[in-house]
Amino acid sequence: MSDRVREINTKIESIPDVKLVKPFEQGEFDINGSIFIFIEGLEQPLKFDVSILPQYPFRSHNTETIKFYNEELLEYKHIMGNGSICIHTAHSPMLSEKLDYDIASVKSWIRKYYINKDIDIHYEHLIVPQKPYKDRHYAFFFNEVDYIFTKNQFGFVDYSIINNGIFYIEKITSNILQTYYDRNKKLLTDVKWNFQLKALNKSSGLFIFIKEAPSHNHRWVFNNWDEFAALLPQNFLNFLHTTQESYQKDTGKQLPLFVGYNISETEIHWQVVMLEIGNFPIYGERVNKQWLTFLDGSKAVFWAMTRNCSYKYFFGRGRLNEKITNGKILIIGIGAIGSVVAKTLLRSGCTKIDFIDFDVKEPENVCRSEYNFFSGITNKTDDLINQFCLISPFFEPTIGGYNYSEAFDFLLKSHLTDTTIKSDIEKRLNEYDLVFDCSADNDLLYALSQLNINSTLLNLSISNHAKQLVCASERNRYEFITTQFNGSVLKFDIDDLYNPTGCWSPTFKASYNDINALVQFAIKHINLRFERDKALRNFVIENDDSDCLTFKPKEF
Amino acid sequence: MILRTAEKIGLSLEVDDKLLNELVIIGKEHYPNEFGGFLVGNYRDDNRHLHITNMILPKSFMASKYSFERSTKGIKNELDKYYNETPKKFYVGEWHTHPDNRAIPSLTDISAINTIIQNHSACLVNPVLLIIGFPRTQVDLGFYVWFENKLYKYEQS
Amino acid sequence: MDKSLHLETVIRTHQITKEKQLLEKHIQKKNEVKEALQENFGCNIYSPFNSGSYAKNTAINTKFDFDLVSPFKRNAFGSNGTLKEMYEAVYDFLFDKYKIEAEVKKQKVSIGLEFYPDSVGDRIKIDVVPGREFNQDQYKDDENLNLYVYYKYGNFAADSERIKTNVQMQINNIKDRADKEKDSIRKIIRLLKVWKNTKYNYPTKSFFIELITIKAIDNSDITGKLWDKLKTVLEYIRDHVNNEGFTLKDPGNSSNDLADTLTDNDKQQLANDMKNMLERIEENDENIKTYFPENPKFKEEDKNKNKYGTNGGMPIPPPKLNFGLEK
Repeated sequence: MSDRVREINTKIESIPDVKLVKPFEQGEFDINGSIFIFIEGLEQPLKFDVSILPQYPFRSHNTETIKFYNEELLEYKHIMGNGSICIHTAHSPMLSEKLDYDIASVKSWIRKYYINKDIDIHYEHLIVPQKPYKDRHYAFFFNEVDYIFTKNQFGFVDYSIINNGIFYIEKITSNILQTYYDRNKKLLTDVKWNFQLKALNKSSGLFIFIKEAPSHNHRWVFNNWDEFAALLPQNFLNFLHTTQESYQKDTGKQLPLFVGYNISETEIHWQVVMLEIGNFPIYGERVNKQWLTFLDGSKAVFWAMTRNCSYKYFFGRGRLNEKITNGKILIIGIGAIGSVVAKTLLRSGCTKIDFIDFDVKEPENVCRSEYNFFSGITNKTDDLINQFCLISPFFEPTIGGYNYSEAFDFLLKSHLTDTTIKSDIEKRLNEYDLVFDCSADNDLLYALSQLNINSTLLNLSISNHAKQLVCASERNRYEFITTQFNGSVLKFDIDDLYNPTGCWSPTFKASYNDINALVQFAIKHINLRFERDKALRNFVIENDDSDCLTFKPKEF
Repeated sequence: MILRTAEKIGLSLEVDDKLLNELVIIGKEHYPNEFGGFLVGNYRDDNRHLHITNMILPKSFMASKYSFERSTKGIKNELDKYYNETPKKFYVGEWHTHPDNRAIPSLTDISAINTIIQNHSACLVNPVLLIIGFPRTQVDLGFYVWFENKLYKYEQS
Repeated sequence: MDKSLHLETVIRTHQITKEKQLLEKHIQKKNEVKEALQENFGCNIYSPFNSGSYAKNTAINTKFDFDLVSPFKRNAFGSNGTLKEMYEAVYDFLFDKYKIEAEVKKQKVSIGLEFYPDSVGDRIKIDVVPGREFNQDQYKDDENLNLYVYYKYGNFAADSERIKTNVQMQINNIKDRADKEKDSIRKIIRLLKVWKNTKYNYPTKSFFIELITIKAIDNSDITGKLWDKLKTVLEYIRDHVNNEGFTLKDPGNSSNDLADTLTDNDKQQLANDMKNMLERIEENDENIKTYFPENPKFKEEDKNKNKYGTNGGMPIPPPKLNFGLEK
């Protein structure tokens, strides 16, 4: 017996209320044994078969490397398909300490889910086996729609492939659900995604809303078609039959079936079954001189993966204050500062973001802004719109683009005294809740400060070497910024500007890291003001790297 | 052609079209290399208006597509001649070309201006800088003046 | 830089006389509204009068406060008529009359008339403040009025409260004090108004600024140049406005507390703003320009004084000079 096995046996025997039923022994890879665990409230101890993996006490792939199995517990919460209970415990590099934690965790599972039968507040999705269908996995992304499905409603859907990727060592195709149609192919409702996703090529699938989850114990998804028997209405089986007939020329190809059910009173979840045309789980039989369609219960169900990508889940892990994310945003100038602002807002839950910039992206812009090398020379606005469509399915640009940017600059600067054009520009800007001017253009700053607009207008600029970030948010923005940058307030080096070869406009020197650190600090400050419902003031963030790096915000 | 600086400082500049054409033609002859020289003129209207009347070409210079270095060797006589005219004419600034680029001062240009004002014998407080840019097939003219530590561009009046 | 000199320039560029035309347009429009009210309400109304900063001589030219106080007779809306009925009647009348040429808005105690920009882009803004005398025909003797609170005004709840005051006494109080101590009070009030105008929708009313300035001056040692005096007032506001028990008595009715026109959050923000302003100016004199900017429209240009400089003697070019990109 190895030292490790001996240590495990000794330790287990020393833990109160735990008894060795079958001492641990070294298997081919794992160390296996059986134990009784008792806690107050149990009539008799529960027996678990225990496997300890070679990595133990370290975790592997974010899961514990000790498994406690009891197949009789399958009906309870937080039990995996193989009967092992789901535990997550504290880290310890010491085997005996880790065993203490893990046994304590099993005890707490017993108390919570076996004895007290607690129901978690958050919904737990059905356990769907992740198996490839034919040569690959399929994933389908859906989004909430503004439509109420009725029980047993069925029809067609459109979906689009967004990517072919690799899922660990197998192939995977990711798709988005695009449109729901009724059985006569009349539009029911459209799934909202950004315009580039909406423009993808579409393929057909089917859907049925069965309302109840296709599962046992609300835990295990059905494995065979016979389990569906009570849930699928006859007219749906007939529909499957006629659909298969009409798709005859595509025999052998897949046709995904979206199966919808409520996971709360208002929320729907969809699982997808991969059907093969020509091999639907149905058969025909003549009953009383009439052909009827029946479900072929013996066939296995091939489940694909689904993900609910609606806004609240997509941005579920963190977003900015609603006053920002719900707002319509305009960013003027999407260079080093503006593109970082724009992408931060996009990833933080903003959807309505427009840009104005008449500049063209060059390879040398890539190192410190949110552009890619791959797209070569192209208008900054077009490039960023493309990129943002790749990031957020909810991105909704309305205006922008090169022509608009040129017109904006021209009209604003050349017609500032023309009251009609001025008020037209004001009207357009007033459609935005937030306007970020990241253009570092003093002429524009002046022109904007002359406008009478209700939008929150923020001018962001950075001094050379990203020594300071200056943000103006008040009516005196022009005086504020010009005073800060006139050379006697902020101390920064203007002799050492970056002078690109063959270009005649020097720019400030600073890396992506320099700029981003300041911009993120500024956005955090602005967000905090919104969160606390406080008025925004002009501010300067200064970084002091004389000793330990610090960022000092100064409000005006 | 009469030009004015931004409203802010209220200085104006005048240059004869004929002289300007001459500079453009000389500049083009040196294309694709840079070229330049000295500007001569005088101040009028209580020193608020600069009239550029003449130019002096350098006798000794080095030039490439991206640089131009001129020396004052051999131009002393010409400067004296203009200074003895009535009214006096004198060195007021410099001109040079930017082949395949716009007429925007580079850092080197700005540092040249600094050299002029720091050179005590230059006696020039507000030197002007004319850049003739040849972006593609066009001609782009930029007149600048150094005033209180900043370079201001003259605009068409 | 000389901060006091700068502040003097700021005041000069904000002199109301510099905007003669706009001022005249306001006066003309005010008279027009006044006549319309008198014509419509006839013998139920006393003569409306201007109570804004122009009347108190504390106006600045970037924002005209024209408040037209309209004193109504006690029984103008019936002997059981309410203040709300008065307010609504004035609103209905003004809306009907001006809806084509102006935006007519219900405000805290007034009805705002914001005329659309005229051919040269000027916007005229007049606030009509309806008030009612306490008892029939008493106004002539005591000039006391009840105002209607249309919506939440600091700590005054909407519709639940009325404000009793004597507007004439308010005007005279500030005007008298300011006249006597011309150099301090009026300048500081104007500067604070300039400052307030650098913000969007600042919650302090002009009247609040006027009263707190007077209170600060009464309670502090005001000496030195203009900046020193202003600084003392800023420090006073910073240190006191947010204190429990801080009050600003309405000279028109000592039981009204103007401090109640700000919420606790507003007062906290005001104290913070004073603190930031003092710190930033302390750090760097130049920052004073951000808080107290000159009116760019009347900026005292020294462009006419600008000249090409000469040091005498014949200018000689530097012997060697580089142009272009390569150093």
